[in-house]
Amino acid sequence: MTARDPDRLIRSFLSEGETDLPDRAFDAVRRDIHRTRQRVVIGPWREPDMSSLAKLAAAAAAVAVIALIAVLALPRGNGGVGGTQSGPSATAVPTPSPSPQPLPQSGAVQPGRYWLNAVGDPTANPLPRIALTLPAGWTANGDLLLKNYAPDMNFGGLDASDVGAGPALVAWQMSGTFVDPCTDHTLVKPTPGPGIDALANALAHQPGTTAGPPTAVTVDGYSGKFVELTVTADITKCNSFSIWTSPDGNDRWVQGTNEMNRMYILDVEGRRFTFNARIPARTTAADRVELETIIDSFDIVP
Amino acid sequence: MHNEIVDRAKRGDEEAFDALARQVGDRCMAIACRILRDVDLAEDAVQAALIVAWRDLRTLRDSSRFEPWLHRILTNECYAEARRRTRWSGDIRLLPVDGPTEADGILGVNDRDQLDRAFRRLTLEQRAVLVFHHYLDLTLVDVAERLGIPIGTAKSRLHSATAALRASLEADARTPTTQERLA
Repeated sequence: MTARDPDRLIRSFLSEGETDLPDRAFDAVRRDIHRTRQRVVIGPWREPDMSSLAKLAAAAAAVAVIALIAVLALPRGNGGVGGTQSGPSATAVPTPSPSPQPLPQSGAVQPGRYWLNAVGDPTANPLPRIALTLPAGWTANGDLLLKNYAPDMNFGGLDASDVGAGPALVAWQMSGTFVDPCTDHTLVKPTPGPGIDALANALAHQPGTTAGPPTAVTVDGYSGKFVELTVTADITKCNSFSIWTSPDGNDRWVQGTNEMNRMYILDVEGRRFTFNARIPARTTAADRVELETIIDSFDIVP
Repeated sequence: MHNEIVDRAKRGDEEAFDALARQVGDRCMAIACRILRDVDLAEDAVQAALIVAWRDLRTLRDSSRFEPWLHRILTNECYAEARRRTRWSGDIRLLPVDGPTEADGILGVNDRDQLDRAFRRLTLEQRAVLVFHHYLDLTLVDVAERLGIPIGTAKSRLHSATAALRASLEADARTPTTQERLA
């Protein structure tokens, strides 16, 4: 009589049983995905490794862009005031703003003045809109604006096309944060109330991040606060690293460790209005300046 | 797994995702059935996992990792399905899965009964480690990665689960069979 091998018996036991998913299940999945919108991911997942030559080229480009901005300055929107504390002091040439155009759904955006639609809160109808002035090099993808992305980019499978990826802007409405952005995507309860401070404090105190204190800001005459949040956790160990959720249940995933996000929370005629500037770790100084200039050009229309 | 089809699905191609689901669906069903020991619950868990995978597909960084990523979602859906059923019924009434499909002849009726009873007493988390390790033949490092748990936790769960199953087999071996009792 041979001795019984428990592990072999366990394997044999586990080999038994159903192994086919019935066709009705596949059909149901097919029906359901047709009704289910894929979540939007802001920016690429991978931060490209830059060679020394590429770094040199980026530095040279940064110098060139700063010089260009200093000389020409970008046209500004009417009433754009203050922006952020660290905003640039570019010499603005007062020129009449052209009428804003709708942003293209995707692809490269020609320099000009556009409407950026706010998203993420289907209960607030209509949400304020933002008119802003874009210089060259920006790409639209849905309601996101991104700098230095290939025009034919897709958000899921980027590789070479994200080289030089820069900042991003989205007027996504934020409503709360998670117990842990990496490991526990349970919403923190109670969710921040409708005011500015509660949301700012919630955003500023999240595991795996460091944040500056909520800082007073005025954008286009509307006062509020911004929070600068930098991801310190190793996000490769997370299924996703989510720093906030919107009223419609979309989560904001960050795309890289050391990525900085500046979340603006404004009081627009008694209603909380938010937007998010994503600043990847390798964003050049020139791109940071350009981002500030764009925010300075905001004309928020309630 | 073809990365191209995953990339197409990431861009919102429903046909591509349907094809992808048909490639991985049976394997998911096999895993879910073994964790939950219930065909209906398993079918619901696989459906839910595929919908979540479609919704979150753009967060998948490396398309070649689609199946391990899906298996983590599936495991979480198995846990959720069991919890939902517990809330509704107050108790999970687990039905026997269908009979052997790959019977290798080494498992007697008594062994199967003992193992089935012992397996149902395990936590879902212990079952998942057993299924990924013994059924999918993954190393403990891979099991830990796929389940999103530390390697130490995977080892501990496997150890306690295996010990429980072995104990049930040993207890069975010590218990006289009906035939022996009648003799």
